Amino acid sequence: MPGVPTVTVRLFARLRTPVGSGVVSLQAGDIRTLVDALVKRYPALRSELVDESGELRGTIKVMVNGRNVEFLQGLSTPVGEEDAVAIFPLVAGG
Amino acid sequence: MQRRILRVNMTNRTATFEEVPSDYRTLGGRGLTSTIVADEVPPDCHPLGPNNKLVFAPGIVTGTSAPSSGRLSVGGKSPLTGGIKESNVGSRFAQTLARLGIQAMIVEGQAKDGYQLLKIGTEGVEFVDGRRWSGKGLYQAYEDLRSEFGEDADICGVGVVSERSATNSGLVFNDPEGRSSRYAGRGGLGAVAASRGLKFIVLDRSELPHVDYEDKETFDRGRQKLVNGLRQHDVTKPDGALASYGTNVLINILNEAGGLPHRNFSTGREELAELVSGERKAELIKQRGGTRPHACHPGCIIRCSEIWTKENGKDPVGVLEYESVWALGPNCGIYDLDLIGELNRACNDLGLDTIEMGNTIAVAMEGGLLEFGDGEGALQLMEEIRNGTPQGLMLMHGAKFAGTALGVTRVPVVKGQAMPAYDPRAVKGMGVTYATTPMGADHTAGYTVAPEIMGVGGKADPLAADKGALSQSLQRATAVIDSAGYCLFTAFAVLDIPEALEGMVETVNGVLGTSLTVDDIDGLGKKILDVERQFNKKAGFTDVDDRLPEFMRLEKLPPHDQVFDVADRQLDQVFEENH
Ligand code: SF4
Repeated sequence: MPGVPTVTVRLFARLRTPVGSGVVSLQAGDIRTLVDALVKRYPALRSELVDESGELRGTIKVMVNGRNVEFLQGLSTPVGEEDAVAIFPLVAGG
Repeated sequence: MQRRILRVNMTNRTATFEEVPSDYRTLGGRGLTSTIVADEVPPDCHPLGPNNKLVFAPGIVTGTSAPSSGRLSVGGKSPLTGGIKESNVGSRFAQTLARLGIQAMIVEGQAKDGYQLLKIGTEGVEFVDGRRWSGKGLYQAYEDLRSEFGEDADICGVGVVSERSATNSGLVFNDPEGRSSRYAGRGGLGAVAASRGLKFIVLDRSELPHVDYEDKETFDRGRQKLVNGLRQHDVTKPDGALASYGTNVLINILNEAGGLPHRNFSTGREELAELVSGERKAELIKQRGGTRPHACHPGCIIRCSEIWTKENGKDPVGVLEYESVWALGPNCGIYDLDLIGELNRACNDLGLDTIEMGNTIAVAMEGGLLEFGDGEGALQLMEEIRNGTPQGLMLMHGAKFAGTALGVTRVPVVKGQAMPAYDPRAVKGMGVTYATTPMGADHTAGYTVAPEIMGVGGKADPLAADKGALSQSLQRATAVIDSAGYCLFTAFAVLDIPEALEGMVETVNGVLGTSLTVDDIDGLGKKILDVERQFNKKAGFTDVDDRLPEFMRLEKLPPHDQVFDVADRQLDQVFEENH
């Protein structure tokens, strides 16, 4: 897709299992299209990332340059080639 | 079995069982240790002098079949902070103490003729000469004690640094395999024990009675609700986040969020962090044939623990917690899990708190004693501590002491206690908790990371400065969980699942015969915090002690380039009023 940036996405914890690695490159202009592209390429990730209605699960944390997108522009947060995108399942500790 | 208070006087070598005073009847864990310390310890006493006391109390439901409730609170006046301290640990020791009918054990006085071992069982209390274990590493000492007192004994002890009055000295308890790896580590309570002449406590488990319930039906109903909640929540369920990766899964997410302190709180993110992550560690444990998941005591259904070994699968260390991996790893510029494992082993063997020790090494690195990243050098420092060299003696008193000795001004402590693994400039609620908890910098006191980073128990922007109310309500809830005897990790589920929280309260009602409700939690927590806060005030603490170190207000933390900008007024309000 010309004009659509290639974005590097890093996955963590159990999200790595269906992908077989922690790093994926995808073409996407914002988080919504990025998640769509991700589940299209790795169908086994679908149930981890989105619910029955296709919405991103509330437990999934998407960070762009270390900021949770919930505190940026949510799924509309734009991403470009320079951005570091990271996706985490629910993790906890202490 | 009727609950009693066991009072051990080390000066006279007497042990007496006392009736529980009526105003202590519904207290347990932290609520009870803090109340007894406030009632019996003069706040202006020297922590290692004759008037301090060491108080042990299992939680209210500890010893029952309530899930993940094998927790013990240990309290006293802290030689590290100079204020009140409760340090909490998960070990079967707590369950055994509760089943022996001991609601609290108060150790007072000072032995005149060397270290004692207390042997406690259904037959009563026996004083055994403890001098022959003096100076020994704790791993070996625990093996020796198990062969002498039985493989099934539960053991609490203090290491060689406690014998030398180190302000960084913890109390160690056995894991299920009997290793000396579970710590009530923070605040120097090991030295409080040693200065009483207390070296070990051995609990004899033969013919162990069961705890009594005032209302078993309510207890069972509550227990079931709580078990259901823990089994259902993504964090606490059997194949959930904690069981799969352990607490160390936080390395990557905190690093990504720019809040994992590296090289003595110089930056919040570093690519090398992945090398010491929970994902990496889980992989290595699998390859080596270590154990994951694992529980710190029987009856925990969350099972966040593990057994880390050397590369050949031998010489188990015990668990490498997130806090320990961070403190001895990234905070010192060390990104090698085997080196971190050996540093952790040394801490366990000598009786040191890993958070305080890691911060001390990082401050020593900043002070030029060795380079950041020099893991072998750090191991050498542990040997200096073991051998009691002048440098070792300087390093066993924690980060603040080392900072003063080495002329370092960037020392991440509050009330003299070193900070855990969240930089308050990138996770600002933690800064409020570090600053205001009566314990000194302590993440467990009000874990705002849950809503700020994980999105558990609500959602809050970690960089937003308005965190007074969040920290206040979590500090209160935590004080209650620490008193009930539940592992703090149950909070991840109960914060999100109302029936599980209700169940937790019902288990407490079932044991005590009370009729508490969820709405009582905030008030009960406030009461405990007020007791602790009052003690600190009488010990000489003022508002100035509720502040973070100056450099955190001045120096921007990469990558978000933030300073700690929560207003002082907001910090003071945490204890003044309801937000
Ligand atoms: S969750 Fe972990 S720390 Fe808590 S009781 Fe279980 S094993 Fe112990």
